[in-house]
Amino acid sequence: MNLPPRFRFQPALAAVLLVLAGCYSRDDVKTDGGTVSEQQVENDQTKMSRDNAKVAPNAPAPAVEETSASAVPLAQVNVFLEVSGSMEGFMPKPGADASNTRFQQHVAQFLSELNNSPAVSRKVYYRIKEKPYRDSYQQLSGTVRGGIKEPASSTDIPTVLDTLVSNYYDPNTVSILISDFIYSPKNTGAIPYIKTDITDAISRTQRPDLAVSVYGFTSDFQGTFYPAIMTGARKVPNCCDTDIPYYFWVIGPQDAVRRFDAALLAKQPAQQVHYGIKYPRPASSLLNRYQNKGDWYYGEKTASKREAGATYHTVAVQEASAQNPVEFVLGLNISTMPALYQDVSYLKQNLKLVGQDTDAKIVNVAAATDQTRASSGPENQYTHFVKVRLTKMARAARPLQVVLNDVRPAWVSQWTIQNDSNINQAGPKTFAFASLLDGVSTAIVAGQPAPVFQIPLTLEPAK
Amino acid sequence: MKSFFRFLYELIGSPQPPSETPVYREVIFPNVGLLTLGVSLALVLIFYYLINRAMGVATFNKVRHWTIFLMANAIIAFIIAIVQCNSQQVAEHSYIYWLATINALYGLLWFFLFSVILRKGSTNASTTPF
Amino acid sequence: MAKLFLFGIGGTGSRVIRSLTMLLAAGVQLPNCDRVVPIIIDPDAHNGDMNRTVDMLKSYQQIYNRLGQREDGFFHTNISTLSSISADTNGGVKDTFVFDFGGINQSFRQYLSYDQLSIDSKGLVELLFTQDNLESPLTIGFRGSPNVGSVVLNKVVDSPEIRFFADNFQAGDRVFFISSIFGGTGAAGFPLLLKNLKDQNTRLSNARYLRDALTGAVTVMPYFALQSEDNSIIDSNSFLTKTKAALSYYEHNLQGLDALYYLADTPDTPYENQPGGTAQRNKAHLIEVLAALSIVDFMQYPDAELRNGGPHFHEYGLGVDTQELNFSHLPDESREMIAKQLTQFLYFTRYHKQHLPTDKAPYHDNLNLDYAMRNEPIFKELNNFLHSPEFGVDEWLKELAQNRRAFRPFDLTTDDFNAMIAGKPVEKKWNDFFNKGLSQNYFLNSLNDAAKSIQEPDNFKKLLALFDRVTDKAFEEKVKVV
Repeated sequence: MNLPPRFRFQPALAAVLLVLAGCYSRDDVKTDGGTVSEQQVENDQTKMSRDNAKVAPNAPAPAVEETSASAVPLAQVNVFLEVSGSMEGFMPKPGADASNTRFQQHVAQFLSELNNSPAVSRKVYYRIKEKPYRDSYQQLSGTVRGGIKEPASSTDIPTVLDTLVSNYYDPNTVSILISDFIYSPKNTGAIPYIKTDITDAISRTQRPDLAVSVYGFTSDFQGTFYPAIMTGARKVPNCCDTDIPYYFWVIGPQDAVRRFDAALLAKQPAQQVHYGIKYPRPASSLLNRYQNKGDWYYGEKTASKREAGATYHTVAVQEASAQNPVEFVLGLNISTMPALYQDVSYLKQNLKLVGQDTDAKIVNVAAATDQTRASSGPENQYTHFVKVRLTKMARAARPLQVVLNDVRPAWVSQWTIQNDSNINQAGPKTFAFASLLDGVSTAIVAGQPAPVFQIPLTLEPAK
Repeated sequence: MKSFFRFLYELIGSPQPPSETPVYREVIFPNVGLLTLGVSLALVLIFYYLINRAMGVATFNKVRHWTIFLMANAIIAFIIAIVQCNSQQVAEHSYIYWLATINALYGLLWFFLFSVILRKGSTNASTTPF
Repeated sequence: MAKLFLFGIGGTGSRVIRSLTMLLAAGVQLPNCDRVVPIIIDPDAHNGDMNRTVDMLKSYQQIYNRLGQREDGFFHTNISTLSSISADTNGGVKDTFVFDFGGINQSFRQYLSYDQLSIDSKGLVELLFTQDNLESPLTIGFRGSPNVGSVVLNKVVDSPEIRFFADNFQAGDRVFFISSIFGGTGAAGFPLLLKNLKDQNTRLSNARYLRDALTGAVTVMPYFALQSEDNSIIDSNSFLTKTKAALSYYEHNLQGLDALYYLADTPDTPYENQPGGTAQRNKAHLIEVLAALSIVDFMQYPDAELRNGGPHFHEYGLGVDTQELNFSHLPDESREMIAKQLTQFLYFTRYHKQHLPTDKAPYHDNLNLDYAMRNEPIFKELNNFLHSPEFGVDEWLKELAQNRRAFRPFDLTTDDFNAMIAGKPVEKKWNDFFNKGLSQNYFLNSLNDAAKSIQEPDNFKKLLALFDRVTDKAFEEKVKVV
């Protein structure tokens, strides 16, 4: 091999370059010499619930679970449209000016979307009078557009709810009730018991998995308004100068409701409140290169691998003091959650830290920006960022949970009125709406409501 | 092994920025440490056993020649640290250069130690550097 | 413990012994004996040739004594003084290479007690000796007058030295005479000594051993001329006449000789005419190297061969008649005897001079040469032997090269080891970057390598062993054949 000398050196050069790349990579990081301290962590946390203390470095991939579930369509949806007289104002007969209400516009469009949606295999339509009457999509859609042909005298909300819960509750099936939800008890003496009536109605048939999502809309109203409190006029004709709220109630097993919400109602410009839905823990991770401050790093053994998609939930604090606070950011991907829980102001109010021996507190919650979405770092995975600050170091590993509390949103009380007899002055409000929801809440959520989600973190002193 | 290199390299303080600590401790320190050891050993072997034995070069054995290798080793050690930090994509920080500097010093140390241990086996440089 | 007693008679004897010593220092093998005992017989105690030969012998002896007995290599043949062959010296024998004439501080007339002689005896003396012979002081020898020498040297046989020699003579020892046939001391001394040693009626002890001892001689016939000076005692024009006379005497009167070597050359440039004393310091000559080779040759014969059909007569013929000889002009036999050894010795000498003091290398440190060369006497002695301007190897080679005929096996002017052998440069492979032939690097590398493999605690012994091995390797690997 009579190569000129410079060629002979090339393999050697290549070898050198290979070697320079290094023998340790993130893939072959072994946990050598870390087991003792891990054991220590375990011991420190024995008081804690094991689920909380044991933080999996790679959180169980909820996103995957969710997408696979939603790929399977729901078996059936039952659409119930209330056609009592009180609803006529939402669905006036089309006039000469070809004007319609926003209700007609919205509900017709929604029904169309639903009817065409692949997310539900079978769609069944009902008109609610004293009892549900089977309709076709065309008939029901025609009712919305063309007005109610034979308005029912009135519908009793607890009865309807009882019917839906008892007779239309099936796995993988939801019922959606479209109504103004003006519940007028038979006599005024029953008004204080609205909540109880609703609770009883829903609870009569025990459905341990029952969930209800409520979406509130408003529409202009052209017709006779029937107030629930008939102390003044029994009815207000040619109403109204104000918008009148109407609601979609989605009722069914909690996972069906959740999936239906996500598939068909996520983009509705509605107020909303949810009962009994268990959301999968959202994808989350600590972010060590996003707005972090102070001396901390990922405490996971595998942190150095920095595998694509790996998530981290352990904060190893080297030093923290008032002068040199530690700030870390937890990225959350809650894009599949209902809009309510994605609302930054809701999150700011209701995201809490639960921990021991620490002064850590949430200092900011922010939604993703174009900048974060365009970033090449892991922050592009997340829709929201929770910034936590602490100035004291724990002596040992401590669990720390980021919890989103399920709190009745403010709009519920704002949309509630105790006397709707003078609806034009009261504005777009519904009689005893809060009481209705309290009834639902009591029936579904026993005692303290479970948090919407909780992200377990671990705070530990750096080793 | 890792704790040994961690001890060596953290003599100048904890890695900066702190968020990169796991990568430094688990990947960069051992990599840089082993590479530097390896390169130092290789250079010592080249100087003492290739040049001053196998190739029979007898006039490249003075302290100044040894010093050339010593310095080359330090420079390579410096570069190894920087290359490793870059290839592991840790955040830019002046710490990288401190690490490279201390690694250069360790390079000098390894080269010296290997020289002392291995020089006896050389033909023409068995008394270099002293 | 066979010995070789080497009688070097006169100035020629000293010079041949000098060359022989050089050859032995270079490692030329002298078989069939393990000790050489040179005895220089020269009444001229201030003879320059003799004195530097003696200095060199002393130097050689010191070096040999430090190195000890070895099979081969530089300085491996034991050269010792007569007195050192036995502890029992009776106090009468000095530890020297030179026969002690006891300081003949007289003229020949006084030596003969001429004035006390009878008239008849005076007449005989005047018949045999010229007035010059009678008046000349014996301190400067016999100045080309064998008739004077034969009288004076007869006394040698009765000396304590010769008795000591005879007392310690053993079976198997050999005797060799070196003399010139045309001079004074040599021409007279050689037959005289021979006759006395082989005498049936000698009073010396071990007479039987002496008689049976294998005996050789080299007789150097005229090879130089002297500048003619009108009033000089020695006239080279008489050399041939004297030679003729001597040869005719030798023809019938050399009894007991087993081998006789004749050497002669046609004279060219005349030497400066110095009858004796310190000024008689002639440049080393090829003929002396050849004479030394005759001793090697003599020793190479096994006993049986020498005794069979003797005496053996030898003459020497060069392959080419040229005024500047190198190895290629020597006959194969001679070349095989000395070429490799001399080349190795030259490399050693040159390296010792050029590089050894300044080398910075492991072998150097290993031998602690920085200190040793400055402080240890034996290292200084080696330096003397190699580089003394009086008797050193450098000087010897230079003289050989400058003389006529010039013996120039080496280019002494170059520092390049590759070019040192005249007419036989070391082949360098130009296509091989690392092969520079006999570069300093080559020697350094070999020395360092050898220093690791030779286990020898004594640094002087080790130094010699190193250069034995390294120059041998250099010769075998790079020179291969001369």
